[in-house]
Amino acid sequence: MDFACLRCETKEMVGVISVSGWCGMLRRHCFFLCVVFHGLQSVAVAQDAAALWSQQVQPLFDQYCVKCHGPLEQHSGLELDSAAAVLKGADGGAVVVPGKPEDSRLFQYLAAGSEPHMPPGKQLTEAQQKSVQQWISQLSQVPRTAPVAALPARSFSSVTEAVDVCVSEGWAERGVAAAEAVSDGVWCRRVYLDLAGRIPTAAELDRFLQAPAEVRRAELVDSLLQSDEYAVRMRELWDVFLLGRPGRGGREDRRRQHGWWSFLEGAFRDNRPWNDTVRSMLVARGDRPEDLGASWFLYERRNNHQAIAEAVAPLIYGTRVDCAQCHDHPLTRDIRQAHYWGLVTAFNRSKNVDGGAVVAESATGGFVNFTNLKKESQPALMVLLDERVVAEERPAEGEKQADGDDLYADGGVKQVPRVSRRQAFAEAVVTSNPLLARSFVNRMWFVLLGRGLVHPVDEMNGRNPASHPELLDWLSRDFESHGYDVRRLMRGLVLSRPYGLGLVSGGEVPASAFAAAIERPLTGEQLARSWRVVAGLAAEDDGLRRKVTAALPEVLPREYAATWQQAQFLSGTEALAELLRAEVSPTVARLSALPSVDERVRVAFLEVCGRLPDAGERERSVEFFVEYEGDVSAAVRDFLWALMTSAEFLTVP
Amino acid sequence: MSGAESERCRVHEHSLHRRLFLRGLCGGAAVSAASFSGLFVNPVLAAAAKQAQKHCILLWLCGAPSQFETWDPKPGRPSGGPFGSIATSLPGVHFSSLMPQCAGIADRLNVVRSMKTAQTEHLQAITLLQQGNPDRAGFTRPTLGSAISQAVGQLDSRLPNFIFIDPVPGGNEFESFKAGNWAGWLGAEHAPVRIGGEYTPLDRQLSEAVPQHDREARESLRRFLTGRYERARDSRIARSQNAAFERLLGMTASAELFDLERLPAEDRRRYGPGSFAQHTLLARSLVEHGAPFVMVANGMNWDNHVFQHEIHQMLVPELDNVLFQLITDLEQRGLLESTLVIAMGEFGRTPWINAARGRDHYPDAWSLMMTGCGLRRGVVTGSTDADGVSVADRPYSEQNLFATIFRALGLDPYAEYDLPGMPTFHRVENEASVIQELLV
Repeated sequence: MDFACLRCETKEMVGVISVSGWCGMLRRHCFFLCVVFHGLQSVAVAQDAAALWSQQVQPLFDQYCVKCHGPLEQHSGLELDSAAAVLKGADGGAVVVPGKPEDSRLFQYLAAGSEPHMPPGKQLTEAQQKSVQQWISQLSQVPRTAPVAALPARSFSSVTEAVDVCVSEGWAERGVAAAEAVSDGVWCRRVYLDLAGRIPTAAELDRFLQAPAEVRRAELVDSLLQSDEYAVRMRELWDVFLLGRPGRGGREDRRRQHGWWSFLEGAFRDNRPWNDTVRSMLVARGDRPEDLGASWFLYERRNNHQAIAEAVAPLIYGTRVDCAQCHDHPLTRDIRQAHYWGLVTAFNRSKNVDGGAVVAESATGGFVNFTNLKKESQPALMVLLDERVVAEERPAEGEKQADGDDLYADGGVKQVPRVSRRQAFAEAVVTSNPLLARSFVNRMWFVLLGRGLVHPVDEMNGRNPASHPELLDWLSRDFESHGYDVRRLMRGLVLSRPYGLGLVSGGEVPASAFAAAIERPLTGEQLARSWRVVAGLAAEDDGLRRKVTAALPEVLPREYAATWQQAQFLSGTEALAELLRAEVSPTVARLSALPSVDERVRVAFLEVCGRLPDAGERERSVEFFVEYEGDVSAAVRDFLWALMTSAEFLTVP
Repeated sequence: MSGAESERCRVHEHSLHRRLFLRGLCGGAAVSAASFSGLFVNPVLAAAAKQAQKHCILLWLCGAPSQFETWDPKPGRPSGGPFGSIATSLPGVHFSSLMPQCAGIADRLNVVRSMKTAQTEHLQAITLLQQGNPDRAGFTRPTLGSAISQAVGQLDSRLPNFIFIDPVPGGNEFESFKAGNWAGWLGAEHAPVRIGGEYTPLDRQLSEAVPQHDREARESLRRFLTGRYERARDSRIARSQNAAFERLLGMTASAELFDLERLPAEDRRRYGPGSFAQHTLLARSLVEHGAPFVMVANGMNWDNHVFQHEIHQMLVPELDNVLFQLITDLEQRGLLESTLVIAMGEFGRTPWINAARGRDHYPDAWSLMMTGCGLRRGVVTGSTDADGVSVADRPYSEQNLFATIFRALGLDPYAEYDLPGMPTFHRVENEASVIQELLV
């Protein structure tokens, strides 16, 4: 009797999105009912309609139906991109009779040989048709209006409290048990990786464990948040989020040279309000000392205004808008072409000035029209995602505004206009734009917990509800009302209970419950520095960092996929071999000098993994040393290699 | 981007099969029928599967050779150049006099003289002829090799699905293309494995200081530790890591297949000196060992805007010999029936000579050669006008070409890719027709 099979006809683990409290309770009861009634198709109470819709029917309709029955086109007046729309029906009437799939045209038209047949030219499989059938038959069990009564917004005394309360309530709703908290030692290692970008040295770990238990965690977090290493670690993350990996060809050097890295590090070191940092990037003028280097965000894109628009959207709205270039977003109505081209318009008066990362801006021009697939044309206005329009003067149809020195504020250089689109746009999106706070909160949650409250992290739109909507709302409002204080948010998240959970919980639990830590691979930078720490050397080494990030460039990828070239790098790179030479590494020297193999194994595990080996590992390790043909330091080198390239070392604990 | 959450990576099932493969193939054992039986219990079935497998060798003449100096000579015409033409083994068909050996085996080749494409600049044209369809903004189409790699799937071979032999890492616009995303929406697993030049494989980079048995000992320990971690945490990262290392082991075990020195000296002499010739020989050898798709390139030396005749006078005879050796070798080994051979650039060259005595880019009328698997022999299709300025008969685009390639390899050209959350894409769009006269 396999619950997974009945739920979704495949062996895949299907996650659950908790729509509301009572829905979750119903689901729990349904679990038992389904086990009892397994095989009795007529009593299909295995899942409620909402879960069936979001897990099975909606993805199916997205793929096969929404193109013609959705935001872009509504053949026969029918829309199929939301359950409500389906129930609304077509021009000719309802397509679904709740509870009665056999009487529902939506289901009838799916059958092979039906007339008319949907989708045209294709045939859904039996399993797919059954999903639709089950969903329709469940519809009568659900009241027409969603029962989520508007509760008054709760208040919490801190970020940590909000997280702890909301997430644990979520566990109860979903009927899942949380994993055990990790030990202090593991927690310390995790926090060092997240805030300092490396594992702690043995001395640092010791110091942490010696501190009084009630204060040690808060003290460590506060001290790490004040460190330079924190500023560098945050810069490393945001450099990749904002501009991507530099790749070959000297781009990394140019970023550094033109002050982009110092700009970002300064923003985090001085805890600049996030909205102010974003403003600096969008306005892209080095007016204040702390803005130097900010213009690189636009400059590197070399006047490709569409690329700029596509990069700015996830930053200020939390969602990509790439799909809305040629037509409105096909799946979610909140993103339209007007938004995409509105973003382009905000930046299309900008132009790089060679030699110095200055992004000039014209005072005139940049009035474009955009067309959709039906060739209908509209003028592009600076429309924001919340439908506000950044107003500006438009010349009359057919006229062109004359450019002139008087339109500029920089005495004839003509790079800074008196009325700047970038400026106006930046002001509009960094103030009174709740999405800015929301997107930052979601992103940092994603970095620290392995998965956004909205998933995928750069698709915060109508398609993807938050796993904990009240929490996300509260955290965003809190972040905004405390002056977009980054350190405060980071501190609150890191000291929360969900952050400190172990990697495994009992049974199959959806990741969106945050009932266990989610596996996160180390970035290249974290790995390079952690290797150096293991070897007993100073963590920073630019050469090693470059090599490792070139071979392992991914930062928290959606799908982790190690390539054989990465395996080849780990196997063969001179850089790692060099670190482990006895003459170079104090750790290797120390381990080689230990008198017994047992001791060597024990200390090596402590140095590398921060823990003792279990019985099986100890046995295998001793065997390794005993059978090794070669001198002790070579054996130690190879032993450490195996530990330092094992999956455990490559993962945040 | 849909609401479904699938927590378990489907690749798990594939990784199990991969392990079965590689377990049977590690250790550098010689290729034998027995070692292919990792997945197949019935050795007869395994042999049949091996026979049914198709291959493709793409000789990518980047920079674009001149059709006048190769497949579509115009002797006596202003555009013809100095080399004239020679008769071939096909009555009434002439090739450039620079290609005597191919002329002799013309009855085993096929030539398309009426290629007509739309891109005049290298990067865009390389992209077009590698992807087989015009770009759609925002989406990166997979290249031919990646599309075939995906179609072939998890193969009964220790070689990668898509091998790209390219000794010249540079090459102007070609270098830009090479730095781009070959596999497009199919994902990194279908990107080519590049060898040659600084991409020389495989275990050569391993530090001399680590003897083979020590490498095995430490790899065995690493695998043990990662396997333990995988089981304890049900770790996706561990699973992926072990799979990557197994793949590396498999590749390292076949490292000698990439070693030119191991090829018979007589073969190496026959193909001739120079990396293009030697790598074509290597491609033949890789195909013999089961590689599905091998692409051979050599920088962009065909792009002769300057001194075209002088340089083509050196390049074309080399190409002539290489093609002759390759086709006749494949035939003798009984592999031509199952191996598609394509020799082409990204466009042709102008009928007129420029001020630097070169020919410039010309996509309006150009030629290519393809023969082997799924194709007839000795067909010359399409024609250009007297000066080769425009196509006179049967213009064919990159879409027609790709439709023909897929059909020849037994793949449905109009099959849809399974791309949830993306627009609908097919291998070849617009149901562009195949070049029927070439197909068997």
